[in-house]
Amino acid sequence: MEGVREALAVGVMVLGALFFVAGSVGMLRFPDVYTRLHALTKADNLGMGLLVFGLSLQAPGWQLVLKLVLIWIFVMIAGAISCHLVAREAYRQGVKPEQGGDL
Amino acid sequence: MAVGVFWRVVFFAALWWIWAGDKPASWWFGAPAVLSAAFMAARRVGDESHRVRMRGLGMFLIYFVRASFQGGVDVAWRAMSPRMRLRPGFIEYPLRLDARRAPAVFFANIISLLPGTLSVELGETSVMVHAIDLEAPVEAQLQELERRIAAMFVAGEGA
Repeated sequence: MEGVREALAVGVMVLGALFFVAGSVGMLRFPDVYTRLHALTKADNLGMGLLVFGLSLQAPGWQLVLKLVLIWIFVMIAGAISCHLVAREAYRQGVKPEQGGDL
Repeated sequence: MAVGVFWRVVFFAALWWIWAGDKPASWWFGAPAVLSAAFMAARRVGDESHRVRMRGLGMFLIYFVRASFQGGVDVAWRAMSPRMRLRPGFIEYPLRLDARRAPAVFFANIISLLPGTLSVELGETSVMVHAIDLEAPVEAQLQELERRIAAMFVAGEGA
């Protein structure tokens, strides 16, 4: 049982790390500031959630789980707000979005 | 104001306790931080209050976790696929929530965490949203989010 939990924790955390990789690839490949923000906010939110979930499975007590969840919430708040501010400033400066098609 | 400060002190103290653990020495730094944060928050936001329906909150959390998953998978898939399928552009979404109050701010922030949408500017009657794929049903998704947030908050007293 302990082994199963350990394996699940590692699997979930590796999956979370893969989402961080995908977010970073998106940041490099996507064409403009707005689409790059998409990659960062969403992939990192999910990656962070999976990391927190994996670490919670390994946590020795509920207080640590609470702390991890709180960290996740605050990273999400910081991510959403900073992403909004970058997008708003780009919009106010008149940065045009790429029109798309298959890029 | 006084009541607002009291509950904020309780709330921030709980946050500090979760973070710093129960080491008594941490409160030499924690207590001033909690008090000043509570006063600043009360001054900045005032006494606007919203009751949160527990049932609405629970439903919202389930929806949020599911949507975060979809959002992450969606954007990761687009980033990794050899032909990136992007049809980005702006959409102006007319708000039904009152833009000056907390639920609308909450709405604007959650937009950026959901699949394919990013809030760009919160106006007085609308939100400017950037969508990564204009062919997806963006408007319907935003309406669902707004409806769920409205169901979670109950408007309270205050400015």
